[in-house]
Amino acid sequence: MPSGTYLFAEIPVRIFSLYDEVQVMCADYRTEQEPEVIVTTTLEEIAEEDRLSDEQRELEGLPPYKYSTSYLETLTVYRKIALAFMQRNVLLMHGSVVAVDGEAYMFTALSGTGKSTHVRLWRKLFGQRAVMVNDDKPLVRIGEERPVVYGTPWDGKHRLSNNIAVPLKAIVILKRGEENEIHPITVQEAFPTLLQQSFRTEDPMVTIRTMQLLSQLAEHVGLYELHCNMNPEAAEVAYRGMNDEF
Amino acid sequence: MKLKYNFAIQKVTDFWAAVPVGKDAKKYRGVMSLNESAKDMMEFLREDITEEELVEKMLTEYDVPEEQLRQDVADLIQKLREAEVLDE
Repeated sequence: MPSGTYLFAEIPVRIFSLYDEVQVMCADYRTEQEPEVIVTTTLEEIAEEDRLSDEQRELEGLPPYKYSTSYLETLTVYRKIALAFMQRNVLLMHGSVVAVDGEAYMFTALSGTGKSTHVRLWRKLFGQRAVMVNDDKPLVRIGEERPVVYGTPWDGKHRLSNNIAVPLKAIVILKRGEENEIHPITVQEAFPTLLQQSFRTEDPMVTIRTMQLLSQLAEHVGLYELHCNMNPEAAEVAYRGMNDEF
Repeated sequence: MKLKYNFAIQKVTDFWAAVPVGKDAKKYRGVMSLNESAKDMMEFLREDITEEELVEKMLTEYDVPEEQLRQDVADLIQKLREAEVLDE
């Protein structure tokens, strides 16, 4: 049975899997530390992941897609890690995260809105000042101070991430628009999207925990709504709206 | 009347957020934001209760004019009806 120990968001996790794919995917995150969390999978759980991914695609209006069993296992593993991490103040969120000058910005939206496309504009604009944290499913450590966002190997179809930890400065809810415009929003305005884009399960206690973590998160980061098109200017408008100096 | 779903209700910074949980919850994708008294009304609506009973229960807990309370109860019920989360 393939196995390995990896460090995600500073928590060592031992993964026992049925297939190699998840172990290969996590190779950059290997650690010698003793595991605090142990994850195993079964074929039944992987089949359940298949059902969940079909359900999710249906909600998003996409046709069903037959993923490989070994790929579905990577999702099962991450689901289990996310659940175990919640009690350790770490939340799995869905968004694209880029760091500029050592501060991270998370862009979140429904699938297909253009998060990755917008973040690509940031990387073009800032060149080496910009570092990709994670393009799809980062982990966020939440506490009394500014949250910290971590790269993970669950990083989207373009495989964009780095094994780094960066203070999270702002969360930006992205919407398509004709013109580029950004403004601060309240926690109440941001909350439905934040919850929708955060890990939770059908278990009421898990949803409560997700909401507790989001409440704490929202107190320590900037919250913005960005309407943007796909022109390079969009990145500059967004950055200027969140910073005094360019 | 009572709530159609089991709601998870949690304080989020300065308001209360309520979302349906469990198998059926996916039918309703929204989040309700509530003030303190609306949150208490939601708790009572977990069990079958009439509008009149709800007003009475709230009157024992809140020191506000009955007129205003009736209005607040009616407003929440209206909001729940629009969200289609109320069984009547």
